[in-house]
Amino acid sequence: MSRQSSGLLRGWAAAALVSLAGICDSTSASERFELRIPGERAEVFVGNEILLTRETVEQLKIEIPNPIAEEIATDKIYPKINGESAATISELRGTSRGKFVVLNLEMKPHLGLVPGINTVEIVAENHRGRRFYQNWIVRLRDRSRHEWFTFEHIDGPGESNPAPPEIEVLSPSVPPLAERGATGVEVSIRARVAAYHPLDLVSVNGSAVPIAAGEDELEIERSVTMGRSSDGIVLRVRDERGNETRVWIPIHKEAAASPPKLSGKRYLLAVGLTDYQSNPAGFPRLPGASTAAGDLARVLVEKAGFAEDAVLVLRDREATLARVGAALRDFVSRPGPDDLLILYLGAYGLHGLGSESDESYLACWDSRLDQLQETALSLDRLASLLEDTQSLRSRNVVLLFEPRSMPNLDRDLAGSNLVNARLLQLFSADRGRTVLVSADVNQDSRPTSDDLHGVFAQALLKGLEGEADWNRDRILTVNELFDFVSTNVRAESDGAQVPRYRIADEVGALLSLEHP
Amino acid sequence: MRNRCLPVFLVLFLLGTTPGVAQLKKFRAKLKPKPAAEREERQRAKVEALATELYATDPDFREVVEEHYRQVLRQHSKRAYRINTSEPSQMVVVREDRFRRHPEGGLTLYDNLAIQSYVNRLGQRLAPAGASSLFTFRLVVTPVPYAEALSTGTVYLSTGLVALLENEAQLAYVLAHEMAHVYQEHWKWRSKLKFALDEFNERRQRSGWRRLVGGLAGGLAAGLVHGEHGTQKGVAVGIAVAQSKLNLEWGTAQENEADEIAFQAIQAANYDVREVGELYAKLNDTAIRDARVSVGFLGRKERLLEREAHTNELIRRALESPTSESLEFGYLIDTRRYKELMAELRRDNGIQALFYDMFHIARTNLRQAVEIRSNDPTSLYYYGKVLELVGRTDAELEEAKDLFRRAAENDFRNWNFGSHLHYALMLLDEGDSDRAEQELQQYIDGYSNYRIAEFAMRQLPSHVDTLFDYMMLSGRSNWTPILPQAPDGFTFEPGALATDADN
Repeated sequence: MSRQSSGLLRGWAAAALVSLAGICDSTSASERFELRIPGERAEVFVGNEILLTRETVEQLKIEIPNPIAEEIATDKIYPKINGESAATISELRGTSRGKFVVLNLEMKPHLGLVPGINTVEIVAENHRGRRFYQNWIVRLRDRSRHEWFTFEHIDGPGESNPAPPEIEVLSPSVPPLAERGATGVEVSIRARVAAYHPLDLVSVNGSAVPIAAGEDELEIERSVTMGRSSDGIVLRVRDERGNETRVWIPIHKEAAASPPKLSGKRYLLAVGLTDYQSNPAGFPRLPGASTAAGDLARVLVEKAGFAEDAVLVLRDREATLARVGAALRDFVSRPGPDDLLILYLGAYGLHGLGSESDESYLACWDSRLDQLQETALSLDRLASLLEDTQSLRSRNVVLLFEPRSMPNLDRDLAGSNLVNARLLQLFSADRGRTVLVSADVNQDSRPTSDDLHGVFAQALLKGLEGEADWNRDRILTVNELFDFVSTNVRAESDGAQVPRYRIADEVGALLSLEHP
Repeated sequence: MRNRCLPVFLVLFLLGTTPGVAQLKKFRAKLKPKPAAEREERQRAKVEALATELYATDPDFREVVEEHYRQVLRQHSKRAYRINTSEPSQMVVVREDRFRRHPEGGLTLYDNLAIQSYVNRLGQRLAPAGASSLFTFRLVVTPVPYAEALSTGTVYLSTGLVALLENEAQLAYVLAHEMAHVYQEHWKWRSKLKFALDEFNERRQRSGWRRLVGGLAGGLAAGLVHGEHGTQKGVAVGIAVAQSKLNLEWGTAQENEADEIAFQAIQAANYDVREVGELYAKLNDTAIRDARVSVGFLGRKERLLEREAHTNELIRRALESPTSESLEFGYLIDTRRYKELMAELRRDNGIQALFYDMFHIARTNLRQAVEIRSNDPTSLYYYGKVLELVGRTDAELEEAKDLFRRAAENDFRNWNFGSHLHYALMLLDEGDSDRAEQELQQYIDGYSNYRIAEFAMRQLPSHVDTLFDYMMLSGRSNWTPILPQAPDGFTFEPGALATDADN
């Protein structure tokens, strides 16, 4: 383990004091599978998450204890990493204590863990057909840290165990904007630098920053003026062994010409459930969800020119399973390939009850907790409807999900509520599906203090009203909107709620919202 | 009651005594006919002892046995030749399905070289150190679980058997067990037994009074228990016993020997021997569910309990002395390569099983294939077909529909145009005629395009789908073979390359 010295890591380690015993409570200990990370002396758990101070993991082990292991059908063990089947990188071994699944993550690059949050799931079936399900969240250090900036690491010559320096950019948080007509832009740079070996070079756009001899930590504070023709700012940090890290911060230029007119019609389907059908097995009230659906429709009609006949809002008693299903089949088939469809869904998101189920659901008006399979909208069904390119022909689809969890409902679940992660994984970017989920895995979406909306919906509404258009070109892109929502939700929740998104590949990547 | 009197009085008379009731019961129990298996086992032990003795002492006997064994080797060579040179599979379109059809009426090799090679390598790793014989391990296509070890050194396993196994440890055991029969020259043993049995019967016939006594004794014993019919039947059985017949399959000794060698082999390779117990249980379960499944290749069905007891003892002994590797890393049950390749084999076997009406195997195999390779259009399509055919609930039909949709979406090479047809019919059922119309058009397009391309595809090997699979697994999903240019002036005549099966 390298000597990591940044404040980032210290914060990380400080958080890592909760013991393994506290992960889950109610299912029997003998029925619990364990996740092990070989080479990690002691996995550190915070809540339900396993925090690792590394950026990569080569192998994971899932232990299936006896007596479950004795009865498990060894050809019916299905591990998943980040929602994808990992059977083809798995190996099964037996010991006197039980069996364990070894996942060799380096065998297939697309099944490796990524920096940041990862989900690991396992479903196993015994010879009598009983299923066992469990999941874990594994958080790796994320050194690329920023979706707007580009990080590059160069290993020093002959380094067998290279540890490139770290750069944490504190400011700016988004690419600086060179306004139309301005000759340049002044950028204030703040960054923290830490290296394993003493620093040899630190520079901002080629201008060296003084370093004391033997120093391996540094805080940079510089102001640079960039000409309008400049493309970006480069930060370089090199240690005395030649290990180097570079960060490129692009300069965004305000459009000189008038924004392009965007073709295609725009549609909105908004589903929000605050109230649920009253029954003994029903759901408690969920403040803010139905208001959000209504307000979203109002903003898009008033500010973004959506035609009223292209908007369908289903709230509370209108949002029965049958009607939601019909809307996801019929309404979404109206937009053509070049039209835009925005879908908002705000409701309870939950796992099937009990430790045997690996299904996840969104609740509807008539959903019953004791019959989720029959009365709630399963995520598989949702994906099946929205991935059907014959039905949903639009290649500009923006899916906005604000699933909320029910306290104590998942107490029998061996692991965490992964609804947020699944919503992010279910839809294909290459079919033009762009997804924004209100919170990260294992986080709950919070209401605002006045219970009028969720924090996420509130940021979304502000962004759509125009606040997210930070380059002021009067075209709101997906990147702008999502960055605005992310930043605002993080700030509003003190970092406890971090929206996650996945933006579609080339075709359909542009969310074409105009506003006055 | 009167029927029973005669044999009882006869016995009492012969004994010259008047026993009490308790003694009579004891006597009846003693005379009760032994179960057939037990009787045969005793008989077999005698014949085996005679075979060993004659082979060691009688040069004529030895010569006859050797000659017979040479005949067996020649027969097995021919059998291996027939299987190894059998016609490979052929791509056919039958109604809306496009699939690989294997010639009927004989076994043919599974034309998937990667899986053949994997199974062969696994078998080779298990060969006893210093064994002078050479072995090969090959897969034949049939959904019926089956294994065969030829005296010439080839072990054939059916795709149906391999698809039934749960993991690599079980596959290793089956390979090692079958190989042990060859390694121990059990075929020669069978030749010895055959001629020893002839000699055994001849000797018995020479002492002809035994037939009479055997018949009488058998008749009396059965009469005591079953009455007059029993008497007649018993006399017949008794006479027949005197003229022995013996099942020449491997006996307990050979099976135990093969078990022990297989255990040593898989233990040396650090496989989890406990999986052998699971294997027997699984085969037994499957055999109960489907009468077409036989477990004869791993020992006779009626001896399963005895085999289970023996393997349990071997497991216990094996676990008493763990290897250093097992202590550090645990015992090996499964590997990623096994899982990856088995997804393909189970898919192919599942499709075969579907056409052979082996629905349970088809459903299980195809489901496993879909779980492991969730974007394989062929697995998705055929699993959808099975669910649509045998599904009873709305949820199963809904799942079938989703499978057809996913099959169509992932079908970049237009392998399964039938999925559009099935999907369209389900949409029509729901009253969605607009989308059904689109799907039907895609089916027509897919079908026609395939028929147009079919002639060109005949220039490609029949297992070209498998080659696409290999490249897809290695991450090159857009690989396309390039056909050589036809020489100038050369044109392919439609039908010129048609196989016999087309005509």
